Amino acid sequence: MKRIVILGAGTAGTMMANRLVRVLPAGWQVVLLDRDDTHLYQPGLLFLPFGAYREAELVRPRTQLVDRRVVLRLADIDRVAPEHKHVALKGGETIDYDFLVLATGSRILPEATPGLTGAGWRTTAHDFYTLEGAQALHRALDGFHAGRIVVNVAELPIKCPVAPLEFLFLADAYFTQRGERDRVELVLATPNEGAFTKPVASRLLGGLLAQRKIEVVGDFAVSAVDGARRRLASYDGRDLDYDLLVTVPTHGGAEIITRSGLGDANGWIPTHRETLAVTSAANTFALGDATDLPSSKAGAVAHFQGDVLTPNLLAAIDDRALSAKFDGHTNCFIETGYGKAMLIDFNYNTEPLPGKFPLPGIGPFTLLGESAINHWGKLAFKWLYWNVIVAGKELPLDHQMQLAGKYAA
Amino acid sequence: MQTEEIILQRLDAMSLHVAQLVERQRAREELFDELTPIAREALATAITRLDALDKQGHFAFVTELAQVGRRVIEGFTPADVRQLGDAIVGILDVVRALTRPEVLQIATDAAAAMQHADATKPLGAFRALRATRDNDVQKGLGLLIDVLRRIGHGVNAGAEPDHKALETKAKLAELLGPKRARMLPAAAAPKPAAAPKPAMPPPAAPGGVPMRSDGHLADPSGWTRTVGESIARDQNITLDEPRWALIDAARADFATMQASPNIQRLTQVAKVTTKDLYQLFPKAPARTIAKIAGLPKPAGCL
Repeated sequence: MKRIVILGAGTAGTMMANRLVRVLPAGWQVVLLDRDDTHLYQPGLLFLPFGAYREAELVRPRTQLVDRRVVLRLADIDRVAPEHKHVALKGGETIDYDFLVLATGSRILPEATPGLTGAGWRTTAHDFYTLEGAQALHRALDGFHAGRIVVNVAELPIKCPVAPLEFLFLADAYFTQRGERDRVELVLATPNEGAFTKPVASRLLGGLLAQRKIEVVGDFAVSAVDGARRRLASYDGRDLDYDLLVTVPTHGGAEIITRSGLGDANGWIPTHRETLAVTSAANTFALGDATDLPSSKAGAVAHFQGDVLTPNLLAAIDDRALSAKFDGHTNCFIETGYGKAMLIDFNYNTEPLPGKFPLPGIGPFTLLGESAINHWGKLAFKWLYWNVIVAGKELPLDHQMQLAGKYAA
Repeated sequence: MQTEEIILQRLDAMSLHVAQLVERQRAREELFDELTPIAREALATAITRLDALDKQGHFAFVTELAQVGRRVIEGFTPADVRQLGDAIVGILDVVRALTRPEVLQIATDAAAAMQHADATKPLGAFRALRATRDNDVQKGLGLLIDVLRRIGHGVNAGAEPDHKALETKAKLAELLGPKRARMLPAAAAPKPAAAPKPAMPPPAAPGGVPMRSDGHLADPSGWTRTVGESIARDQNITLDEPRWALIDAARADFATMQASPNIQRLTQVAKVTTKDLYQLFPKAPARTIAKIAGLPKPAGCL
């Protein structure tokens, strides 16, 4: 029996496992490994602080999400040993593999910013990238009626790069609906030049922030947090006061990757940008947030990468050349509050452009512009996620980004 | 014994239902599997065709038409529309009469005469009299008088004199007075559209290497160390060994990733701390390094 071992049963790993068992030749087994049985619908975390979703809607047992032909093992992993082609579990058991797929994702490292997890952590300083963080932030927002909210991106890359902006848009709508918007200041402090860094998006969306009265502090690389004084300091010597800090902490890869010597200094896995073959180990592939690729860390990326990785794994099994190529394709909804959202679609070489998606001229989704249909799409995505995406079913969409329906304007 | 039999019978019946359910579900899944490639193909075809329509401007046209429709809707009440409906046959009759070839020919000729209005000399009474000697003018006058007679007849047949119509007529007459008629088009002519600003010539780094508007090199392959030095000089930065090491590391990373390194990536590939980066390049280190290294601006996804 030949074996493909997949590490990580998140969006990327679960989807890959469910896809592979359907297409693998006879005599191949898929083993999916994770340490616990809780699969989190991560796009929902954005809505949790505003009370739009409940926790129960966002978690499902991993055991329910995998095809029964997949062997799901819930265990703590000690390390990967590429030289022995096996994965060692804590307790001494080893699982041999012929091919290894790393879908170990990313995690937040709030302790990487001095002072962030000190005084005020989870009372006046919150993240919304974990279930506990988003819930604590929900309670904090509930009791917040006046003052300055600073959303700070500590360092790039982060998961879901538009989430900080979405959080601010939703906060604007949230406090407006409570009639308290004029007493709440909203600030984005980002290490980027500004909220938008690409020419078309800056031109089309630049006015949106002023219109929503969201202040942007650019080129702000946070060096330390003084939780007691509620103050951020930047490497270039600036200070920024807050009443409530919403941090998007530094991200890094999984510990197991670093422990196994497979990642770079932040635990990201060196991966070929097109074939998704891991360059630090043989017979190994990576997808999703875990890679060091300059594509976005987002579920849609994992999905499009899955479309590339499936044929490439089959090719590797047959000892053929890896011919499927990932083009950096990403698309994602951007919630803008007041029942509207935007959609962006781009890849390594093409910046987000305006237009209609997926049908040119018709849509129904509007690219780089607000519409209610986009918002409904984002809401309907939850069903799509549980029943189609994670189930590894095919979407009738090309994994390569298409220029049809887009305008260069 | 009897209860056992009943249970067995029930189980038997249930198993049939379960089998039916499973069968239905299987069929549904099969349908899903069948439809997926079809949907993919249909969607791909639709995307191609719609894109062609889009690029030809069909959708832009419809959007504009919707704007026109909106203006019409705002300008008309439902009563107006009902009236229009009642009169539609009459209107169509008029259209039919107007679109007869000879009428269209007259309209075309009249329009042609209007186009040369500037060249037309004003006629005094004597010249006008002389002009009536011309056969064509005679025919035209006859026609005009016939038209005037019919209009007059129509107006007389109408009930009361319409003040509004009279006012409009007066205004029209005023507007079309010979002197004003010539002034009118000049006054009303829309200002010629501002000529498109000549595109800013792309700035060039010393050495003539083309740059983008954001101050980054247009093509990383056009970079040399001399170019790097001159960009650094513009930023008031002197490139020493540790700074050069960062520039080289950024360029090497770009060669593999085809993306400009951000701060985290720079600390890794050059094995420095963020603090070091800010000491060497105090303002926006990742962007400054990319600029000097001839790489595109490090960008977020938007």
